Amino acid sequence: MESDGTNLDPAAALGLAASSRSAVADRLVTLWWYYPGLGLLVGGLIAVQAVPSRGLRTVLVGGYAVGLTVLVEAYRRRTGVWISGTTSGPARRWALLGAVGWLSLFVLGVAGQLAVGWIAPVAAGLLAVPVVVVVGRRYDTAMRAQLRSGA
Amino acid sequence: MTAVEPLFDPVVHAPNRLQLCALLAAVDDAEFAVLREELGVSDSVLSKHLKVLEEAGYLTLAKSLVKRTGASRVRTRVSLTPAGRRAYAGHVAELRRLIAADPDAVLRL
Repeated sequence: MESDGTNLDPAAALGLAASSRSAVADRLVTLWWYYPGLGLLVGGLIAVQAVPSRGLRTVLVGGYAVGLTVLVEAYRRRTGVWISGTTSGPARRWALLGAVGWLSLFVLGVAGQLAVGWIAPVAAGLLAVPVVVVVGRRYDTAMRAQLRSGA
Repeated sequence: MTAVEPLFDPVVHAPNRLQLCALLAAVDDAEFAVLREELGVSDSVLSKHLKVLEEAGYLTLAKSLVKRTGASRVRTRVSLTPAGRRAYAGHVAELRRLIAADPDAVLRL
């Protein structure tokens, strides 16, 4: 290949890439309202099983979808970046744990409703709020560490 | 997990484009303004580098109109394509391979 007159210092180039990843970590702030908002949406989606009217349940699930879109858009506007949680690396474990916890509570709500009635999905929904907040904040912390470590 | 094949990529190697790829590889998408701020370059310089990466099929630009208090502006979100992620990962793997082979290596390109 013909030389274009530039030099490549691999160590300097890797350092440049690492500093860029670190800059992303600095932008990945945990906005105080994001996970409580997500927790309320997820909790609401679980608790909505207690609503006897199918039509009303459909409307409320639609409200969940709209609420999630608004929440994600608000986060994007504030930070200028978006990380969905599917990015590979050690932090993904927390995203998977959150998804498993959410699905488990959903199943518990459905099963519990058959056994003890409407209180089960409502209780599962209420429990989902702190689960989402705690796991979500752990995810952010792990993702910042992952970005800074270059993993 | 599939091993990344070390492969020097002349499109990625320019410092500003390497920074762009490193930033974008860490996220799903980022706004134009964030990239400009992190690179410390002008709109035109950033646009030039984005165009090179876009033409290589390494990134996509999604523009949307944002209206706020009567005024409207275009918001551009930038994301790496799967090909861009592979190219960046391969380039970084090649840099690591070069360092492992000779820690003091400086290559004339």
